[in-house]
Amino acid sequence: MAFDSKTVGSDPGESFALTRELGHTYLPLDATPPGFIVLDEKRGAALAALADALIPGDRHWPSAADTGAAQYADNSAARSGLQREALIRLADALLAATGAGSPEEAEVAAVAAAVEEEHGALFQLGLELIFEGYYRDGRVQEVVEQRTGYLPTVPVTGMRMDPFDESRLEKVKERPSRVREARS
Amino acid sequence: MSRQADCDVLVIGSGAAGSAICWRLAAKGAKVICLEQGGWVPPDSVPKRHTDWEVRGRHYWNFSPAIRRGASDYPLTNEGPDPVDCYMFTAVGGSTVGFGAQYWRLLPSDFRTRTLDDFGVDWPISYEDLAPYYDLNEREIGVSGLAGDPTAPPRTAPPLPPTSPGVIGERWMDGFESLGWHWWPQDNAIVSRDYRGRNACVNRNFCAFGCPTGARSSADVTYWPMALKLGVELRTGARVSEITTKADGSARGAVYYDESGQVHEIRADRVVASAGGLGTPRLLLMSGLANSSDMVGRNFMVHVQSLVIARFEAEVDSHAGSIGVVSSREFYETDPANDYKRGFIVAGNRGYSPLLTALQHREWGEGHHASLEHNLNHEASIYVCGDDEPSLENRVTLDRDQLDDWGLPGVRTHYELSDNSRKIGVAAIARGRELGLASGATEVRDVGLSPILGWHLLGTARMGDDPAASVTDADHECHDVPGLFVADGSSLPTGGAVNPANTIQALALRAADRIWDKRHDR
Repeated sequence: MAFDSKTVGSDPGESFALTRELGHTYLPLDATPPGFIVLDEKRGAALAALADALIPGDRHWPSAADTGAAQYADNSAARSGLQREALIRLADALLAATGAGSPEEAEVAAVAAAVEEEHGALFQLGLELIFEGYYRDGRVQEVVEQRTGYLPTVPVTGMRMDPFDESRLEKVKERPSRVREARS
Repeated sequence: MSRQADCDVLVIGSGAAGSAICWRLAAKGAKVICLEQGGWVPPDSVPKRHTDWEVRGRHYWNFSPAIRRGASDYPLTNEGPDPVDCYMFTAVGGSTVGFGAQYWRLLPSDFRTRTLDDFGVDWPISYEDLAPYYDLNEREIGVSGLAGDPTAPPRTAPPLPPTSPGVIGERWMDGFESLGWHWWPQDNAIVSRDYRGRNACVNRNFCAFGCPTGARSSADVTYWPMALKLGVELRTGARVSEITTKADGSARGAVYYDESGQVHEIRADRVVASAGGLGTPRLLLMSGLANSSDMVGRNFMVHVQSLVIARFEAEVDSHAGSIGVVSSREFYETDPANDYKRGFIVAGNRGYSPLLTALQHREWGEGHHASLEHNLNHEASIYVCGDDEPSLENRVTLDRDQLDDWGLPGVRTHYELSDNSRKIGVAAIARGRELGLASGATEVRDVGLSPILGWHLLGTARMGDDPAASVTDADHECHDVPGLFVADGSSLPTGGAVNPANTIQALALRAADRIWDKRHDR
């Protein structure tokens, strides 16, 4: 998307290098394997903990981990060597920040904040992919509709378009012509 | 090298301009071949056919070829003090397959900015020269809108009524009127009613992510079906490496690679470069042609574009609509009271989608859901677009360090906002924020001027009367190369302050007529 990220397009650093990989990492909805591909069990658990720290569940919304967003991030990144390596580094950074304990035992949000501060580009990649995995999920789209009134089906299936009410133009039509003379 | 059949006219590029030229010339009886680097967009790949359209739009449908890096894209690097985030598509229909369909005419003053405002250069043609082609183009592709705008000259009415303003459009109209600003329903290249076998728009919004039913008037569903019916030969996957010339220096044809990498040459009486604001200078520079003025690739303009996002307490039905709703040219012309020349539009648009909203606010943790519920379906955008001064230093050059799959050079862009353009941008954003609040918004934010939004890639092979300061003449024929024409966004000497697709297509239709009229000249 053109204006969804402040880093797209001009940042010559790692964040842009990772963003550039997106063109080749689309993961079809029906192509998600049940588990992690890039990350081993320990790293996968760290990413899943991050997912829940980014988007925790509540009585209305599923958590990111419940939707498989961490697995989605892993499976999508698997399509790019650069993103694979970055995701492993992100998971390692999470584990390192956690110290000896497992991510579940630590204060995950604080860990995530520390990793964001220290490894901004890696954190941004994880965040974007987890957000993607979350909002493409059908259950999440149902909650979006219930909680916001935004209808996710309309961009795909459409709805009736009302005509433009030309009576709204009465005022502006009265304004004098203001076309600037420009003939040569 | 295999020898292909000759044709009357060879058109390079099948986008907004190339498609119109092919249709127009074929309708007059010319034998036309078109070479397109990309292919047809497979229907199933159109993002908005799928519930994960937002994700698709960030990946293989990414508007930036520097991120998308599709098989038919060439390498692109954006540099300079204010790098442009260039957006374009390489496909049958060109960038219209990903355009938002906001569809404006320029104003008469846009053609005389040097004379009127000491800004840029005058065009070698006038609004009156182009008006019949705006009429023709709007009729052929199907445009929705309304005549009578007090800021525009009298015109033929668009063939279709305006698209619906929706809930948010009513807000914008209230805002414009409370501020005492001009406004008018925006023209859209969208069929608001059934038109020539195409079904009316069904309000899907987010038009740039593809229109599954073809209600958006992109070139692949408008000119191309007509052109093919008339016998135009469209060769997809054809990557042109060189425009060739005869011993006398006139155009002879082009050499291209097909999808298997085999080289072909086509010979033609006339060659038209319509590869867009980046692709056309790339072609000319690769060919070493038409550049005695050193203007090829220079004067790269992108408009001064930004977005103001307004949040309303009430829901705004952001899932629905055409993107463009109602717009104002209140600040379009030069005002001596300003510290800048020329001006901008303020256009009220529709709202945003879930993933985009979440990424823009980037709230994570306990506040994530509250942030989304606060903003999604409550925000809508105001698009501002200002006149960008042409500069010799803003340019497109070849990048021989980054090659495409066939070893052809990529493109580098270099761009710096001029002082005038920056002042326009600041003023336009301020007016956009003003409109947001006047329309009842409780919060406004904006995306600033960095990175520069590069939807409109213009000016890099401009037309003009002076061979020392332009690439083509008023008939789009290169000063240096008889029989070689340029017609696309690169032809514009100045850009005005509106979305350029209508002007690009009107210019293309006019160029086709001039090519036809001059067919016996050599």
